[in-house]
Amino acid sequence: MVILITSDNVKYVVEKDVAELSVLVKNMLEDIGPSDEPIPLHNVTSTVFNKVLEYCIYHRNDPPPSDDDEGCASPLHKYLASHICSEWDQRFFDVDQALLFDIILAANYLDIKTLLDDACKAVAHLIQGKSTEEIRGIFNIVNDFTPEEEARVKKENVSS
Amino acid sequence: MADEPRIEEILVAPLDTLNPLPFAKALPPELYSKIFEDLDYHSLLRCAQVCVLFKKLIEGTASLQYLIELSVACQLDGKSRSASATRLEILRKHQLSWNNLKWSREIKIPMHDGGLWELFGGVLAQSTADDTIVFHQLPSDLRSIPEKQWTLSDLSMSVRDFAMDPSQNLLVLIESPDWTLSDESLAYRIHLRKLSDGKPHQLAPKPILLLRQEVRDHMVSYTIQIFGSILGILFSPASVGENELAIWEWTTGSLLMDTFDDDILSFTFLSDAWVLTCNPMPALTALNFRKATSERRNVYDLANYCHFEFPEMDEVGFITGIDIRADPGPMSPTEDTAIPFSQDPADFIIILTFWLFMTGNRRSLIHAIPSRHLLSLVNAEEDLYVWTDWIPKKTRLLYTKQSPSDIWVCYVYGTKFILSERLPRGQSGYSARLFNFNQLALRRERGQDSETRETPQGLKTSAALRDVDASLAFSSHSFVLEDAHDHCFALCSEDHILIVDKYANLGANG
Repeated sequence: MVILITSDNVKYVVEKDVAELSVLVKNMLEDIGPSDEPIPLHNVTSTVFNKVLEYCIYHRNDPPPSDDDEGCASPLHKYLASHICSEWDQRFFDVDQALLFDIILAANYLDIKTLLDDACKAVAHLIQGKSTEEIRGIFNIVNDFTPEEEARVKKENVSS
Repeated sequence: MADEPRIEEILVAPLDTLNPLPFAKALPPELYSKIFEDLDYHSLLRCAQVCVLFKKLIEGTASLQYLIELSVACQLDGKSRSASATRLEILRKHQLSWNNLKWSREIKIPMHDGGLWELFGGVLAQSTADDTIVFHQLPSDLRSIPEKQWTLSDLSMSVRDFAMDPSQNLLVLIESPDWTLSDESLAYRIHLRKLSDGKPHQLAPKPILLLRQEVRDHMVSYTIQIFGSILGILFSPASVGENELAIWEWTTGSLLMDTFDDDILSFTFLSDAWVLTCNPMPALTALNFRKATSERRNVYDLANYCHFEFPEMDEVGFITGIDIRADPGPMSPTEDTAIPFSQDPADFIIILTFWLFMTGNRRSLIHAIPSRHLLSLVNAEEDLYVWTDWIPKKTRLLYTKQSPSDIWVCYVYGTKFILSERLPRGQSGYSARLFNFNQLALRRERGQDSETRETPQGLKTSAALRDVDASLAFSSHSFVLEDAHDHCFALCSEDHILIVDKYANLGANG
């Protein structure tokens, strides 16, 4: 068992194989050696960690992700190579956008590759087919192009 | 399931569960890029318009630029393990070579005298007088395809015609019928072999497909098209008989459709469910062979069809022939990990040629039709489109002085089409013009450079068809081969332009 404490001081007792799906936790455990010392997760709140834990427990027996496509395979290649999202995964990611983005940040911080991949796909799915203005809404981003730049960008991308 | 969350102790009640976080924290830039990798072309372009950061990320990430360029070039990514940046560079060079008609080398291939030839998937095949087929895989330096030659001589039959698909290692041979048989047992025999060694194909449960020959005719001509697991053959007897179009799924050996009528002049596949035929009306008819049966039926008795009508053609001239051609390229993506990308078979141009006789002159009218346009119409509920519904804007009509060859028919590949062009008087050599109907590439080019392209000289829309606004955009470039003879024919494939020079050799430009 591994003890993890989230940024809002919630203590979790998690089985080692589940906790080690996080490369960050795995490395920390290796660094401190056998110990009951709780591991602090500074950048994750319990709300988000509940979701992360739910994912890790469900996927604990999945084969580990391969790294060999890192950096060389194209997006399409990756898309074809990736598993087809199960119904469970679809339901899992059917959350409000704020939580989805927090899951991405947590997965990135905890270094859980499959969760990060799947969450990014879920966001891509949200964006797919949306207008530029709608995408700004999704990411809560302000248009910072100057009017001239914007006109030029639009002209370059006439075919969109 | 024992998989319930193992939360054993809560030290402090999490307060922020009651107040949802203010939405959308900024993500680190690399995570935006990661999200973008799962987007399609159009969504990527829209993301690039969101803000300065997104634009920089998309423009600065090789894998995203590669994805954009693939879509624009109508290409699909291959199984290559090389870096996106490398493949992007190859793709740009490949596009540039086609746009500027700059080939890396020229090879000369001798012509054989067997009377049969085929060009598909970058392999040129010719028969010889002694029933041997000589294959020549044309090289591509950019796409890492080596030059390769092999022959099949022990086919133990007299071959009347053949077709192939290198991506599936498939060779389809039509055997000369056994004329000693009685009328009732006369049959066309279609052999499914391996292209590499001529042995029966391992994916074909029936190594020989049989189709009853209705008329004892020694002069049948064949048109064969392979479309992934689909094989279509049009049998055209010379004597009074009925043209017959049979479509099989060769991987199961089942006959999907068998239809006949003298009106079936020519055909090409639109998708793995629809085949396009043309009749002398003239009109095009798309037939859904997935909803047909193996029962032999007249084409006008089939239920699942979609007709495309033409405007009044009488004033244009007397139509002496119609032919329809398209080559979407191999359906199955290549397994070769050296090949970075290949033509997207979902996007191709269909070239319909009308051979005309007008005021004593032979002319031809070319009608270029994007496959996606027709497919979107056949998939709608309608089964009849009058010409105003489908020809204007989305297709192109071109009058040409030179006609495409009715023998050297591989003049169309993907969105490209090549046609001989007359040189000015006194100039020697051979000239051809390459047309490209890739709309995405054209739109992008026009967006950056507002100059409109001129219609090449000698290509006019017919006066009688002036009201038909068939104005689909295209680009075109011509080239001259000074050392070739006049009266050559031009063919094209994914990486090559082939010039058939009957007075010299067959030349290929890679």
